[in-house]
Amino acid sequence: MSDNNMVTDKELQNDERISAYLRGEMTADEEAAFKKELETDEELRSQANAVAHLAKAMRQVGEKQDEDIKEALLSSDEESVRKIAAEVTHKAKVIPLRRRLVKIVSLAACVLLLVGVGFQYYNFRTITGLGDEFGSVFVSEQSISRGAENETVAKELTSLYVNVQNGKDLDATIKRLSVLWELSTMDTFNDYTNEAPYIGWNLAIANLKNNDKDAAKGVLTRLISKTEEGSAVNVKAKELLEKIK
Amino acid sequence: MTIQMPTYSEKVLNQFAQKEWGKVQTFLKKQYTLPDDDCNDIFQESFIILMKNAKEGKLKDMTSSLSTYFLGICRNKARELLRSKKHGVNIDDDYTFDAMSDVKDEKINNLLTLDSAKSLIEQKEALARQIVHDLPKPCNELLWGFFRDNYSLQTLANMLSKTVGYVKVTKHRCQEKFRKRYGDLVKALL
Repeated sequence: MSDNNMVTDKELQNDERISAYLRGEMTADEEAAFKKELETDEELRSQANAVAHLAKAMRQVGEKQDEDIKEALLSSDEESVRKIAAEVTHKAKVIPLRRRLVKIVSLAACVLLLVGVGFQYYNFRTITGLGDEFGSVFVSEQSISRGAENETVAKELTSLYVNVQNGKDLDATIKRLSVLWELSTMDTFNDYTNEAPYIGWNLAIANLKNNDKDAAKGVLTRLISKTEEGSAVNVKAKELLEKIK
Repeated sequence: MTIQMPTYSEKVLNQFAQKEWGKVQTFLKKQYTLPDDDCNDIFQESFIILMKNAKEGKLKDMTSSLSTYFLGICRNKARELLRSKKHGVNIDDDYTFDAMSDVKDEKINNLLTLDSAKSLIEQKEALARQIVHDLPKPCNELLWGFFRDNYSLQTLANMLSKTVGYVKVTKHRCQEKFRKRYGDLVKALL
């Protein structure tokens, strides 16, 4: 794989070939050559496999979404549909500026910038402060005592939670917790499923400490939907979400 | 005061409308240079037609994605409007539906057999679905447009007001991001 900034011609050609193969647009000879190359070119094989997973996932998710929309259309009436369309188009309406307003707008922008800088600092302290305030709420509950069940998972989670507590290595911690959060909230049971509430909670706190309010809100919203109504994590997540709003 | 919360259907349709409005507006302005008011009217009328077609069972035999189908309705409404106005624009020159053929299930499955770890197939597919649910911009527009709506690179470039080169490179990067994320999740699973 090329580094982050460089995409080579070969990689783009591989994309085209993979797409052509998936769409049945190759000639018999081209397809034979492509399949032969897949046997020996590990990078091409990995790319092709990933694209296949991507295409299949999009088909499955897209078909489900389309079915939901069709159901929604069937249960709607003309008035509701017209109202929805009107709301969307009117929100997006652009009003053209006139030249005589430009000076006034520029001056207002300068004032807003000064106010904005002050507000941003205040906002930073508020958001990260919430992370500190709520960060220690579940420290004792989340200490993992799984015994020999899965020591590796337990050790890793403990280490990640400690990082969140101490506000240490937040970028790497958030990245890893995000992966585990997705795993823990999958429909199929795995080593992380039972830890989902605390994984989600710590991810939200980590995002707050990292001053990423939107990410924290997203995690908390999902955490609320995934935890039992009235449970400790559910109650605290709602409380925290309310404060962030 | 009672606040009326939107129903689930209204939420679903609202999300769909918001997603489609950007595409439709860009298409109508670029292709037919229509003003805002005409774009608004076409969008609203097309939404009604979509609902009516759904109720008449016309969506059952739909072969494209719903998004592509809806854009088709908008295009037809735009052409109707232009014909009624006897507009000078050549309405037969259409950049938009440079659509590609659909991705074939058999081909997808052939490439999936290249998976080095063949166990936990269902869990892996679930992971892939989760990732595509939460794609960031512009990856969501590019990848959904390419793999689900079957838009060509040129069409995507026109929709996003970018060059084909930009679309190719960005799409590749998005695919690589998916590959990396999917790989990370699968490693954690195994």
